[in-house]
Amino acid sequence: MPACPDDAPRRDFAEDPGGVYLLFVLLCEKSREEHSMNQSLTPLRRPAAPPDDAELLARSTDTLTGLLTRDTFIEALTRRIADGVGVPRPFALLAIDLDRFKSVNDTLGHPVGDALLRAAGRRMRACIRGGDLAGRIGGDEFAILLPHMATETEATGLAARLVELMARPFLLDGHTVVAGCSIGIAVFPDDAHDSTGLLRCADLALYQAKAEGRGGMRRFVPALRDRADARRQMESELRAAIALGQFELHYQPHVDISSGRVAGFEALLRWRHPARGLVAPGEFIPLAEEIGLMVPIGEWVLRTACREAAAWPDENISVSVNVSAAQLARRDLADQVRAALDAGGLAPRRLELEVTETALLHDTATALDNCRAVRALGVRVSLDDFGTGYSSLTQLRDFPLDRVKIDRSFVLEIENRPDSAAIVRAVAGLGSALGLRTTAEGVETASQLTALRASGCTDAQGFLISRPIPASELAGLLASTRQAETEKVESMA
Amino acid sequence: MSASSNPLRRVVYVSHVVSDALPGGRTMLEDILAAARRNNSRVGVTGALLYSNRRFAQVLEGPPDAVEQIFETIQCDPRHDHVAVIEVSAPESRAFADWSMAFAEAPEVHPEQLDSPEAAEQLVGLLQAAIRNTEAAAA
Repeated sequence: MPACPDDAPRRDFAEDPGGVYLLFVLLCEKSREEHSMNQSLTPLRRPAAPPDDAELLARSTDTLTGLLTRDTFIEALTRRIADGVGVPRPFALLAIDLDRFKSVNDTLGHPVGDALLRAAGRRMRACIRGGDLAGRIGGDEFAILLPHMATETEATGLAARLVELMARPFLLDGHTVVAGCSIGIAVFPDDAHDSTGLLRCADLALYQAKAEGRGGMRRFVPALRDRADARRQMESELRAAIALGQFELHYQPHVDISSGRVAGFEALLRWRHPARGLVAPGEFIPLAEEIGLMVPIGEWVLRTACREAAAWPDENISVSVNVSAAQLARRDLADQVRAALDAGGLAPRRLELEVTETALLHDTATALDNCRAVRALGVRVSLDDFGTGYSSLTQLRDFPLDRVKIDRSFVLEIENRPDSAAIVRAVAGLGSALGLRTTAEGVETASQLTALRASGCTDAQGFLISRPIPASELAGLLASTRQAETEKVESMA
Repeated sequence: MSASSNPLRRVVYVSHVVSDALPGGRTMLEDILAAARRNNSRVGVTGALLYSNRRFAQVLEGPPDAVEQIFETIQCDPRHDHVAVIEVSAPESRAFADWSMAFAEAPEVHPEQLDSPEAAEQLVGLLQAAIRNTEAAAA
């Protein structure tokens, strides 16, 4: 075995970026300790790096991967930006994230996770050229600086090569791991003029790459920043909305098809934004879910609905409230419901909770306990949007339900698609056999209502009956429907 | 070579030859084999390489760390892609103890043979047979 002079590995590494012969030289090392120590001294190809960079890296390499530490990397980035002041020479910054690091760590343990980071660092070093800097920014996040980039295609070419190389299997401690990576690319001075801004641009492009399915790369575009800024603003406004009293409930009635009477109202959340006006839930609920606001918002809806419904003129009319997956996963849902009923002075039989199938699937055992517990209080439970998700018959059988709501997409096409009509009939029949009421959602025309009645649906909700209305208009709506009913009865007499 | 009491690791993988890596044809194969034989013997790794139909199938066996590091080196070789590991095991003994890297060219191997659940086992058998035949022919 030939001796392994201190300089040999670096030179081999430097001269063969493909890395084919790199590791056999490293294999000369007798032990892992020596091995990793040696690597930590060679995070870069020394001959091509400016001397001050060499100094920098000697004191500031990440012990696990041998790449630059976060601080050192940012320092180098900042210096490169300062060098470019006056005559900005463009350069690129790549933000890299391993796609499946967390699952490797969770399933195979931290030692294998660490081995993956080491191996990923080696592959990155195998890809970069002289003068390029690679750093570990934290966890499984890496960054590469191309200070001497001549054209942007150099950066995209490197990113493509990295994506391809990281998608190849790693063999770690007897396990094969396919980690993959996503990459965001930002370019100075086009995208940002300081290190923080440039890192953020690369990160935003990285998030975009991840959002588009991972295993790919994205170049930063200003629209990403605009979207992120708008989102952040909305996030802080949303966090303040409860305290500022900007939420309100609108109510949409549903009628008993056989009698034509209003049987209840579904409470629907609206956000009265000071600048944007009334914001529909579709525009803010996904964000609220993501930032963990669904539990407090859901609790506000529950309390408000109970309080407002208690003041309605007709004590036989129920109120239904949508319950999110986050609420269903909490063990104290029944306590919250009881507290809301008590505080509002609403009889439990007048409250109905609407849950979606996907929300039930989140944590089935807890959801099942919760449904049982609220029904024990005398509150009813309905399954919302049935037909769009898994439409599991097991759930219809096993969850303690009072009602199934047939999704609007079937109702919309009940007259011109025999298959939609057949599904509505089947669900109504199933509901009837299981002792459940079936509400058709999104009813817009009288002929749809006729078809639904013929299919055996018990209740209907939709614009034909009424749009969602503010709480203040509710009494008026009830009075006018009662009036219409009386007239109908009188005309028939 | 490691003593028989030391743990062994075996890896079997298949990959595709990158089309524009082929102009050298046999030269590329010879390069790969020469490098493998040079590198593997240093670290006690033995194995066999099968080339067929623009596909590689390779068996690497030896001390676990050395096998993993050789495998990583091979991973980074741009001359092949679509690498799929079909077996990682801890065998009792080596299947190719006498070979730093035996080579077999088997034009009759079809890609689907490499995709079956028994592919790894079949491949090792196929390689052993091919190498026995080569040895017999050379003798």
